[in-house]
Amino acid sequence: MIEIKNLQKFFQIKAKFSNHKTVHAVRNVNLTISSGGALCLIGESGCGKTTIGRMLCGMERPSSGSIIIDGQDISRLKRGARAKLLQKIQLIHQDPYQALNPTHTIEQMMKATLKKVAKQKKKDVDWIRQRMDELLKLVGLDPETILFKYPHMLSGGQRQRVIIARALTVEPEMLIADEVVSMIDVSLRLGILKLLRYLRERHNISILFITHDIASARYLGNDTELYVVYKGMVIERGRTERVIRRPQHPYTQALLSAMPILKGIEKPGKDRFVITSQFKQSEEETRGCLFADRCPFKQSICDEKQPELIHNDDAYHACFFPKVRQVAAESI
Amino acid sequence: MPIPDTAQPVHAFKPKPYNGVSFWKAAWKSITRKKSRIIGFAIIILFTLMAIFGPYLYSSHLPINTNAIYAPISWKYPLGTDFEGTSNLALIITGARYVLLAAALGALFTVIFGTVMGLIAGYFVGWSDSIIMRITDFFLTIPSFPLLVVLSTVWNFGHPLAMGFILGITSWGGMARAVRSQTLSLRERGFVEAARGLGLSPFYILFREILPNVSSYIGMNLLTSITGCIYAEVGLFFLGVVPFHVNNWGVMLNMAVFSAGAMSSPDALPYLLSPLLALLLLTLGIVLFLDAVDEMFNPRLKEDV
Repeated sequence: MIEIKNLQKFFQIKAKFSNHKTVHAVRNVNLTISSGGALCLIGESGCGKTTIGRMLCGMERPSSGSIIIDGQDISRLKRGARAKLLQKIQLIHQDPYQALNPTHTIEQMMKATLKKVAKQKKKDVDWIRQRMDELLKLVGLDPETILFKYPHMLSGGQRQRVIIARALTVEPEMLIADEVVSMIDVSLRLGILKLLRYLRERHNISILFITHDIASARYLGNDTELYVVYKGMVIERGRTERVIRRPQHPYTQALLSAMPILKGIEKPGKDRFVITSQFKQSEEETRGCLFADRCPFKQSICDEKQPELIHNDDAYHACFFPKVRQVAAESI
Repeated sequence: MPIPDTAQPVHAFKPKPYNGVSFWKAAWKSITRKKSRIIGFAIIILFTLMAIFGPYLYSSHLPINTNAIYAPISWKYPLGTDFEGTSNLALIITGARYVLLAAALGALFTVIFGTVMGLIAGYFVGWSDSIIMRITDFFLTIPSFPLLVVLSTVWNFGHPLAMGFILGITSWGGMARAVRSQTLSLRERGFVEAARGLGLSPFYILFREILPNVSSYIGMNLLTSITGCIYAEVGLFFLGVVPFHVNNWGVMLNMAVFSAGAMSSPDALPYLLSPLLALLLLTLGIVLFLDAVDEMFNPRLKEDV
């Protein structure tokens, strides 16, 4: 089980001839992922969802707040123990073309980590061989044909499978899938999503799915939770189906409205609206709602006070004027 | 695509011969891909053989012929003779060992030291980077030629190892800087981050993940610094700042210009031109061969072997 409490992250942007700017990338995020559970973070680019993932796997240090893995707060642990604990969380990169060393064959890269694991478990070379076969088959690759290949001989989907297989060598409890399908050919996306779901269902590996594509979030299972992140703050959360069918926050509605529909088969939701103003990382902190400057339903109070995440109708949202709008596509 | 269920028995593992191609096989393929590379390779092999076996071909004191001082090019003396009537060809062949061994050692030192320093500075950044880079800056600002001149007064350069060491010491700085900057960009790449996340050791990441990605650059630098080292040492001998312990190409050049007056008398011209010809040929060989090095280390070119 992995818990995040009041996680915050500030980035200092060094400017040459003026004062340093501070970007508040993650604001008071709380989340819990049970073992074998799935949680999905969605939001537009720059909203801080990737930063949350990077902090979880130890690549970025939180400015404040705590990350608790199996009851242990990682910031309180010594370096060695923390590194060991963080190995249970593996990040799957967005870009499968960057995440594999172009000079290594698949066999070499699988062996590198398996050797380490074998040493810890006091297993021999045969075990490494067997495990390599097992893992590659698990992710849907044929070991015989793929082991001696270099990354450039593989397609994006195959690479992503190799990356997942490599992450599985250290027997993680959680995978952070950071936009895993965004760089993969559309025809191969479903395979990867199904693989993640399979790993979750059969091998009890929890998944933190980071995406901007709501449609792919639904493939992870029926019991996934969806967190909508805007400017580093969770503005709506709830069961995936619930949030998609009856979104309450205008930002969630805007995200859902932006989804392309299958013309002629589906028709856009009747309350669909499109926000034209651009996403800005504002320098000065606003007192009011973070989304106020782009919200079409803004009232005067929205500039005055920041709404808190409140429970309402088995979901949480941070809006003063929540209203369920029909924005998702409907079938004709 | 159906995902196999591991609940089913995994097929019994049967060992299979490795299907990939070995580095040497791929290297050979890339050399033979173009004619110019074969020529370059042949020239390098020729000079290497000369350095290894050259001194054994002749007696330790080369024969003197007082009747054939500054003899022109002939069948007996393919490159003419020197001031004692010794064959220039013999001088070139026996002189190759010192020149090439010192240059090879110098280049090897440059590359190994420069690479390790660059990798460490670029990967660990922070204070280790600052320290290493300040040391590098220090060595970069030392004007190498004057230093060699000064050192030659106190140091015995009779052994190529001493010469190679000095050549290497003064030239590793540039290499370290270049490798550092490449490492800085590679360490941000996804595969290095992934390796860190998988808990692989820094040693593994540095030498197995990052090093192979800069290896073609290093390989090319090894060859170009060999030529650099040859010019530097031959230059030292030519200027006469290093005592002449052994016969070599630089000594020949020095004698030809300053004792034989090759600049003014055409008789001694073969004596001057023969070491120049050797230098030119070797440089040409290295330049032609350089082209193949890039391909050797590039995994993309290994597939079609």
